Amino acid sequence: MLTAAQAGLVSCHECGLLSRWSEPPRGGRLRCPRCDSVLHRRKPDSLHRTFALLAAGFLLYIPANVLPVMQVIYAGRGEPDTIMSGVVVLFDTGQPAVAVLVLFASITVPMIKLLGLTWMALSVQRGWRWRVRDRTVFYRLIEFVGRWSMLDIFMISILVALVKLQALSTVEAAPGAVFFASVVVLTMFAAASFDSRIMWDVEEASR
Amino acid sequence: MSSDPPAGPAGIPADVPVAVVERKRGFSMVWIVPIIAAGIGAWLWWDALQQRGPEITITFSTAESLDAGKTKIQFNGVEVGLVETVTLAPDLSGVVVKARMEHGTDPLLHAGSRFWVVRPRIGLGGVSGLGTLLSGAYIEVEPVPEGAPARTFAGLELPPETPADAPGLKLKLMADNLGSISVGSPVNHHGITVGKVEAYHLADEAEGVEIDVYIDPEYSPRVRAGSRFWNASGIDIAFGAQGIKFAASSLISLLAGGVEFDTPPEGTSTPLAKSGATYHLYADQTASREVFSESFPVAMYFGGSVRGLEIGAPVEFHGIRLGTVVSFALEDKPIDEALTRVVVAIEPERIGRKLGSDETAEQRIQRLVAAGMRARLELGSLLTGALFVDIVLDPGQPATSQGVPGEIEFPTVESTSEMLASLASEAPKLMDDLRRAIGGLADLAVSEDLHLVLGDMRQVTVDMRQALSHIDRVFTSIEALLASQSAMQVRVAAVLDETAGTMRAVRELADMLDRQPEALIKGKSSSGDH
Repeated sequence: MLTAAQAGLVSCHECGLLSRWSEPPRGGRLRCPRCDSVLHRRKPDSLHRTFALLAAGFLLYIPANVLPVMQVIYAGRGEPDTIMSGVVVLFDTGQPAVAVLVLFASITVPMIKLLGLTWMALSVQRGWRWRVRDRTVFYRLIEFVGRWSMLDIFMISILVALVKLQALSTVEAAPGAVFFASVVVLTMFAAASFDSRIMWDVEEASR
Repeated sequence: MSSDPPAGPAGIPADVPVAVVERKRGFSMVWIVPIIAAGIGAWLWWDALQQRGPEITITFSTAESLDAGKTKIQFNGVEVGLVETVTLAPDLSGVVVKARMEHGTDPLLHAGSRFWVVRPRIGLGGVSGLGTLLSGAYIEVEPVPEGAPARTFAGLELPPETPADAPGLKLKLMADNLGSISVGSPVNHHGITVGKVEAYHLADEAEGVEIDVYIDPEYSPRVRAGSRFWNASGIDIAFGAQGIKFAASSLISLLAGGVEFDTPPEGTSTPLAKSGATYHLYADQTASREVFSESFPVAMYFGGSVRGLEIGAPVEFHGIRLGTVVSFALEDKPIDEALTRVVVAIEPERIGRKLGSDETAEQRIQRLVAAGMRARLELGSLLTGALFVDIVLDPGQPATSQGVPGEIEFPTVESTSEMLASLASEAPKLMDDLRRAIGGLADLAVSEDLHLVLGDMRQVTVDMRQALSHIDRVFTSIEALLASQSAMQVRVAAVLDETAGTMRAVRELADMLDRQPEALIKGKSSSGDH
């Protein structure tokens, strides 16, 4: 199978225009003749960036789950809630559907993203050629579902802004929310910096 | 990378060096992101470790309103720890609370530091812990200034009324009965609240109750070794010669019970009280005044009825109290010579006297009995029918005495009421005698011999006869009055009986109010016991 790279061609990430590849001089870059965005055959430094961002994501994932994300003060009384304790409270108060949604968006999705991207990056680094097609589909799924992790942060932001009834009830964001948002942002960057095509490069190189 | 130089392309000399190829470094700037993340994580971890203080264990009897992970430990309103686990004690005697203290709380954790759960409490002393209605219970700690560091504490079930290092006096009162005293009850002195009851519990050694009281420092010098404490709870109803006396210390004492103290004149020179001193708590003010170091028992035997006699009834001489009836019981005798043995305690200090060393109590009594001292039962009150022991000096009266060896005894005489009764039973006979004598006189007057002699005295005799018949009428009416079946006497007796019954009921009410003053408000408690 002929790839664009083998044919000496490169496609623009932004506008998709196929143009002829010529080796840029040292320190120079190629730009798209149509939309003027920077052209590269593969996302630059893809594996390194992905690994670095994933590592940061893993590190911040711990405080994001251990520290409280939100404090609901109702009638002067309120305990800080971590993500997990919030899920438990939702479940206990008879809202299992919301509890499952929050559990999925805030715990399952970031975890799948972190572990999935790590696994894919490792597979490229180790030169695995196993089920490349399925892995590509999985990558697309991760990229798609990743944005839903921001559901929790979105909810906190709205609640903090809306529930300001002073003595009656107040919602305050807790430090965990910052870490959680950082994790989500980092995994999104990690997913964006990972170039799924390098999985196919491994496949091609082994032929 | 550089090994043997490869064979150069044609036309290029082989000695032209090959440029050194520098591979791109493995380190990219993007790795700063995880380094920063690691730095933040490490700082958080270090910070958490810094904030972490010692773990302590507190035992409570109940875990009510204690939540693991939620209940805080506070000191003067500042959060100093958090309850981590609440578990049952291995022997099920209570609960064990493990709590993580914050960094730098070691000065709070000395042996003797007190922990208690602050919950909303509504008592007569006031409402406390209202804030916890909304915020939930928390554990308050009260440190002691110095002591060995400790990690295990026994929690208090109730908040301490006063801090351990409070400068006031802490006294112990020993009482027979708690009465209506409760934690927080006031301690009054001349009607001013000078302290409060901190705690009470059954006495360890003796029978009775031990009550811990705290006296505010400014009033501490008022308490002397000779001070006397009494239970000022409730209402004092006394039936006396002045009528019914009704006294209550204060509304709070009425509701919550109270303790009052006073220093009698003879105690004013005693040393000031020290913290930890023990006092007796008298049942009432009267009891606190009637404390005598000396008393000796004296027995007396009465043949008549002792209905109306009570334990505690006074023993009086010329109206001055000498002692108290301690007990009375029927002697083991045949029914027709039934005797009641009454034991009284004679307290010489009541009349400001101590037993001399040269004369024993027995010798003195014997001397007094030889001088004619007798005991008799007298009606103290017409209304209540209460009897008291009256000591009289009446050498002429025949006295009954049992003479039990080894017993100091007062001979007894019939009471005036008994005498009256026996007099009444003899009245008809007396009347018969009188009538016969008068009849004889009349016979004498009509005899021939006396006619002349009495001629000029006729007028006198007629007057006399008139007078005598008048006396006769008077005696007849007295006889009718005294006859046991007389309707009026029956009625009077019935009225008196009824009045006595009413008074007894009033007395029982007063007794009950004295024991349970709260019954005024709550009604009689269903369980007879307090």
